[in-house]
Amino acid sequence: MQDFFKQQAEWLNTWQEQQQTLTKQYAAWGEGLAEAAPGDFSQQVPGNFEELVKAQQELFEQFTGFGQQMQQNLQQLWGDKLPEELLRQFNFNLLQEFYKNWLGNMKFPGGLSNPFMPGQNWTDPTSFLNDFMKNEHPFFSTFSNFNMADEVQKVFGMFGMLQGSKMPGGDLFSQLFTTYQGFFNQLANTVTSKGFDKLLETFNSWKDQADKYLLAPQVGINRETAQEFSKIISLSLAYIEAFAKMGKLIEETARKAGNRFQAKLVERSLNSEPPIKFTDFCSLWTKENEAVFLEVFGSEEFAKTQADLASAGLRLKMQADKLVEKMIDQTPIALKRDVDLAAGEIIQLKRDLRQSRKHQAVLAAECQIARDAVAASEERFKQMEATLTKAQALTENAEKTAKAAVAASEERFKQMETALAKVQTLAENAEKTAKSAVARPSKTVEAVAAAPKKTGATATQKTPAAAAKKASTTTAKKATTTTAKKATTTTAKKATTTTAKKATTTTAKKASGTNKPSGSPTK
Amino acid sequence: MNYTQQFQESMDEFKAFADNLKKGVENLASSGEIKLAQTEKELVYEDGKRKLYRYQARTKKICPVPTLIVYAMVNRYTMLDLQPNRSVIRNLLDQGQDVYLIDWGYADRMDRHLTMDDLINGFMDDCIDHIREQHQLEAINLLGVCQGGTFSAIYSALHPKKVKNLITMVAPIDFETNDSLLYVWSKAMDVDLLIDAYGIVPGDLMNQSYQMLQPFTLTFQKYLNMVDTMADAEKLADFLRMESWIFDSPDQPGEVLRQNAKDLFQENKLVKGEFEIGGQRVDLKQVSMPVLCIYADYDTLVPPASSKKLLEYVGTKDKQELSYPVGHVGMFVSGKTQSTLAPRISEWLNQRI
Repeated sequence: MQDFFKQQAEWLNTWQEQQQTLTKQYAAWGEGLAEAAPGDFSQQVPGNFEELVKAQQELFEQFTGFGQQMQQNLQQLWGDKLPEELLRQFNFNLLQEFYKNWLGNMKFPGGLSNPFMPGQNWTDPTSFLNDFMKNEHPFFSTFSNFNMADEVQKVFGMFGMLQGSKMPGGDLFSQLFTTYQGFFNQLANTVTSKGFDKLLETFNSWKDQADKYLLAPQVGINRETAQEFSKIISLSLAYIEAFAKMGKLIEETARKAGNRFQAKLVERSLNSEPPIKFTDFCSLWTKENEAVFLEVFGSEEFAKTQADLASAGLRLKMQADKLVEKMIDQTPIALKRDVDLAAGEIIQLKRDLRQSRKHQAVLAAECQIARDAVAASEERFKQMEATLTKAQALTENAEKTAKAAVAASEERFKQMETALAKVQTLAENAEKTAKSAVARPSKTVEAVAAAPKKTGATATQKTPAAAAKKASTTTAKKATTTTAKKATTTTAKKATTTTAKKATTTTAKKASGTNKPSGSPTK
Repeated sequence: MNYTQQFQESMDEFKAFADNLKKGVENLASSGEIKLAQTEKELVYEDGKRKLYRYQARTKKICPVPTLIVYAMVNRYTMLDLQPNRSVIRNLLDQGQDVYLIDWGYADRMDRHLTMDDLINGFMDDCIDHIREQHQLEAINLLGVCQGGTFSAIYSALHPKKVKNLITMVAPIDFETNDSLLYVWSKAMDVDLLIDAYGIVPGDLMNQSYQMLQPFTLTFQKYLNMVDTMADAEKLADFLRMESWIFDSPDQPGEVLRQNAKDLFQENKLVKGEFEIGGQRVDLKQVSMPVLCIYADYDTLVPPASSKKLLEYVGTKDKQELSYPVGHVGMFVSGKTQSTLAPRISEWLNQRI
């Protein structure tokens, strides 16, 4: 939390410097007009802003400075009580002051006296816990020592002047805010004695009224700039309001924590167990404070108050950023928004690059698969080529065999034809003989009978029926031979053709199959 | 006890205090550079400021399935390897685990538009693919710590085939609980305003929130106690290492924080099944691999109720919880966990390889 407030303080400091620069610039621009204008125009820089911011900064420092204050207290206590030798070893200032105040502030029931400070009694040990809230309220001094209406009037007086419409004190906003002059004087006199509640009540009432004018539409050539400045004033008021609410909550909690711590001290004292050791005291202080604070921190009220404060601060920051960027927009300095735009583009490019890489990896994997497939196909192709060569050789062999078979068949066929021709001749001769025999009927039976045995034997063999039978057999044989020859030729030719065709088809098929896979993986 | 005795006791204490302080200042002056994360590791993959490391093996027998540790972005992974005798990583290596780790680096203005999708489906996925490829594995072990545990659960739901076993350690999953102040505060915050105003949210802002969880202990008592130990150079070095880690908080990329705070802390979308990244809905039922959920009983940052709810929402039947009686940071550095945490994780993993 300390760092949080410190950071806020640092940021406010920066913002304050920016405001000063800006207002000085505006003041310089209006100087010429101011010389010709009536009335006192010597202070163009609205000092109230400086004080306002400074006051908040100091309030933060009170939070952060608490631990430091404790240490300083410790230092002061021991300055005159420790041996010189020990003092030389180490600078005890911090511890002295703490012990001095701690013991000096102790006030137990029964009015125990302070052994180290004769004549003084123990006092409330929690007083230093609340010091940072109760003493020196620079936050309130903003309203008591300065007149905000005057300062706001100056600012708007300048805007009016820049718009070229009115002289200082005579513009619309100045007149409006002048009506609050008396109100603020009254506030300044009463608020410090009323605490946060009164401050908030009064401040909020004023803020609501002020906002109406701050956020009202403006006119003139510089209306846009003027409106942005009005807005930042309005937002700073909202921030003050949120901060005061948080301050109130913290103050109440610190008070509760202090009371609880005091009660514990009393309790331990009554039980004869007062924290004599410094470490005991601090442990008790930490434990009791933390218990109270954590209870509050866990409440919805705190969560909301914290969120409101953060939001108010963030809105103010954004508006301040906007104004600063507007001021340096025309300079060669790169703005945060430029960097954000560039960063957005770069991030998108990186996303695209990543997508491309992923896609590229997928493609590379597919390419590899394709390459592997091509290599496999080439291997298969080689194998097929070898097979084809073998098949061709086989085909050629088969063709030769077939031709040889055909030639043999033809030879046989010729032989058979020759044999057939002989048979035919014999058959014809036999026929002729038979016919001749049939045509010699004049011969006597006896002659026929006389000649006979030899002829008879011949006749027996060469009767027309037997010759016909023989012829028939020969024809059949011839037919068989022709058919066989034909069949052999056809079979051989067919075998050759089929084998060749088959081999060609297979080769062709294989060849076409070889080409196919090489293309498919690409898909 | 009379006043004289009281005074004498105070004097004794004060003298001891002063002696410690004097010696402590001498120790501070001679302490040199504070070194964290000294276990040897090798950079194996990187994308800009985000890096993937592989730790050097410390045993001969190595688990065949490597484990990727995903730490949070809000702090540095160095907590897992704070010093040699307080190192979860070293202990895992001693158990034979093959350990990889994602270092998210320090975000800057250029990371203003970085999203959870970029981190989880982007860099984290790239790292896991890299490891899978290197080891020729379909899936690896994932160990997510704190916010890294949330990331790991989300990743496992989106890419279940790439995760062999999932371990979450002190990881916020269910944000319904108000057991942690952070959960209460974040629900009230105007997150959009915060991100729009800062773009990159300062790490110190987060640290301040953590300090407010124990405002007096962490901003005052701790440093007072330090005086008691700073005379001992070793104890002082321990303290300084821890101090160095605590405030080493990287700035947060706005869009990551926006989604983390709004969708998770405020709307609790993850357990409702409404959380989306990169246009993909995250369904914890898709977490089908074995899950080990480790949480700390006294965790004030990520309350146990938020961590262990994971087991109610995941789809796997092989799920187990493991708790230690420590706080969030104690899970990594306390003596109670140092000797047993890594062996128990290792045993659980080895049974599922």
